[in-house]
Amino acid sequence: MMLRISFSIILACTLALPLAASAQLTLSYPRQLTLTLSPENPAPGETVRLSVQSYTMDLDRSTITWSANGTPFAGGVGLKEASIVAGPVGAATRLRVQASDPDGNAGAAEASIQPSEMDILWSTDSYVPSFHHGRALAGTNAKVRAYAFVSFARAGGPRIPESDIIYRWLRNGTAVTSVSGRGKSSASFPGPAPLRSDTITVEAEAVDKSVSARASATIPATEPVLALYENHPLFGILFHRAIVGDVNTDEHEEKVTAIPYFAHISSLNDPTLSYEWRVNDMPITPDSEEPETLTITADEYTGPADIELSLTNAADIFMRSLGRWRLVFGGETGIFFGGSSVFGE
Amino acid sequence: MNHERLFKYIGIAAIVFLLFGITGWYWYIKGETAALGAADRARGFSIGIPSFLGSRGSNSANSGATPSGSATVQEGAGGAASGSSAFLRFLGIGEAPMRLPGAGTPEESASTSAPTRKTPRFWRVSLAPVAGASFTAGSSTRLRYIERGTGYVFDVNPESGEAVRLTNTLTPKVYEAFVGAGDVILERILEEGRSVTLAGKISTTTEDGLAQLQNANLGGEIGEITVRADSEDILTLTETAGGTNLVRSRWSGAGAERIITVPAGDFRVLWPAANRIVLVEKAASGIAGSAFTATAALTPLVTDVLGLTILPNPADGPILFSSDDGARVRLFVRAAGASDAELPITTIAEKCVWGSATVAYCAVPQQIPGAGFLTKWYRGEVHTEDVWYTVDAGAAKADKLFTIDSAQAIDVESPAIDPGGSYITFQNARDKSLWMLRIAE
Repeated sequence: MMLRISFSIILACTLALPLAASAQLTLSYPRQLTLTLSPENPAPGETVRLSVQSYTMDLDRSTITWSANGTPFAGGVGLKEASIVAGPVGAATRLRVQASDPDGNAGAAEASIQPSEMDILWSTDSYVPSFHHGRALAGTNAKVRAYAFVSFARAGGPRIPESDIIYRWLRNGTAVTSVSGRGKSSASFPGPAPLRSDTITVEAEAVDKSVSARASATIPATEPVLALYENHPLFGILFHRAIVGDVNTDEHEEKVTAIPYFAHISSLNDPTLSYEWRVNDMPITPDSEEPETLTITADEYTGPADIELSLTNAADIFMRSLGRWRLVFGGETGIFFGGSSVFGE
Repeated sequence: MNHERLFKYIGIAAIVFLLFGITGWYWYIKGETAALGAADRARGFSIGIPSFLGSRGSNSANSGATPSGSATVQEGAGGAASGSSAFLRFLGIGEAPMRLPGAGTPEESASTSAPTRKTPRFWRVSLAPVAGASFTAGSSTRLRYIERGTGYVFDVNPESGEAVRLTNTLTPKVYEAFVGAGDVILERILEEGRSVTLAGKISTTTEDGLAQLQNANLGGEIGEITVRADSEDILTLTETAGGTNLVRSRWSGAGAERIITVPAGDFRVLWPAANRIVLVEKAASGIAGSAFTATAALTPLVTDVLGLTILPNPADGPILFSSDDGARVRLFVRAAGASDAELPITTIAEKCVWGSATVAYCAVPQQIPGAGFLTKWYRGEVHTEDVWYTVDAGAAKADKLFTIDSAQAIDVESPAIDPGGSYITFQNARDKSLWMLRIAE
């Protein structure tokens, strides 16, 4: 009888061993894994780099399997990094990485990719002439208007309207609460201080927090640039050919127009502007109707005409632009860009 | 006594009136003399600036002034002098028909209906500054351009070089011009510092072979504008307090339909295909920009690229885009499902034109543009000397196509290709002259 009981206990213990062993594995499962995505908020079609780390498993000896939406797409021993291309806006991808080492330890981690698009578009109120194809940069005292372009969509759903997105605007890292809030996709800011750059950042998040993104734009302060152009009687202002360096001319009279790029003005004859022209050190009273234009009559004079223009703005204490050019009347070559390099410099 | 005094006063008054009259006449004559002098100067009688040498004040004599010579110029279908244009002729504007420098003997080119000579591979279509040009869509290839000084419209046969002036409506100082389908012409001028857009159609009725350009004033609110050679519609960008409005309308401004309003941004508008519109932020060296396909919403095309300029593909194939980070210029090709590939040429996308779905032609500066190139180029402060390359976008390769004689020093802008893919036309940014290159040797 004692023998039967002992055998039963031994048998029970023997049968229970695997259960005990199994219970022991369950207690150690899963091991801690950390899954990192770069970038965290990818754009559609953007390649996302994935990496996995663990402080409790030797991943270099582990068999690692990567899967997206349940389908393995990469795997191997020690394969701690992988990449995947983000789908379109609204197409969420569930990522899972599993690892198991030779000692029987195992771990897993999961993450989700919710592709979204975001960009900051901006413009300034700085002056550039009509037909200018370049960007109007932020001159002194400029105002900047920014728009946060956001393309959010819930998984399989339509785009989330701007009214269902909360925008948080920051200027140089400081939140600007007055322009932030639900549906506030655009905002205005004072331009950067002279010699500095402003970083405009916007953080956007869907009202239901299903998707979020962040974008930044750097807007440098730009000194107004004075450019001088020939104002041709038949062709108008020759914007395509600025006067740079010494310029020879066979004409007896030249009409030139100065353009203050990026100045904070509404027009060239803005009443706040003060044009101070000098030719060969002689001050010239500007024309009240067209102060930006100067006509130099050489008559029989041959030689250089050193033109100097100082431009100040009564409404903008930081603006003081100075330009110097030389027209050589009766120049030998008559070449407009005489003495200049191919780039006019 | 009273009569005597009265006569005296009348006499004094008459003398004063006479003096005023003489003075007024003097100032009138002086003003007219100055105007005529200005016109003379504009005609280039004493201008030594290279871009205007031979321009004779922007007239048709400049057309077809080929390096090796091969073209003729006609005025309309008749080509004869007319009373209505006598005054313009007096000013030296629109003179025609006339022989061109180096155009061969009169016998060789007297017959304009059957040109016997071909143009050289590379030739100058117009020495006079040109406001805009485009190949026209239709059965026969024609290059249509608008003179900057006069606003006159010309058609050029790219094969024979024969140029015909079409219009006699004088619009001086045209800064930008566009050619649409159905003889639509847009001309942009400055009035008191503000741009004004004139939209018109070339009249079907002619006088001495020349037609009027019946212009409608689209006003001064339009910032950017573009057209397609196969459409009578136009796309415009206008600034309002609410942002930038992208509007499609008929050429006359009728039937305006707002496509989208973007609350902020500084854009140019491109129209690479009839059903595809691209908004691209205006570029500056070292400033990040983005481009979007524009419908009722924006769809990113290329984002966050420093000094971005872009050339969308009319065939919906790969796109070319360039960056100018302030120090160097790079050109890339982006194809669907592939990583961006950098091309082995240093130029901006604005100097390129697509020839087919995967082949583009790019003008490449011989010298690497210096720092801040793009910003300075837009201001006309720097210029390049370009060489033409063929770009195989599929293989991300570029091969030299044509080397421009260094004496020409051409800084290519606004390139366009004919529907058959045989000719490229472009302007020289140094002087706005118009040029043409035959792609095949």
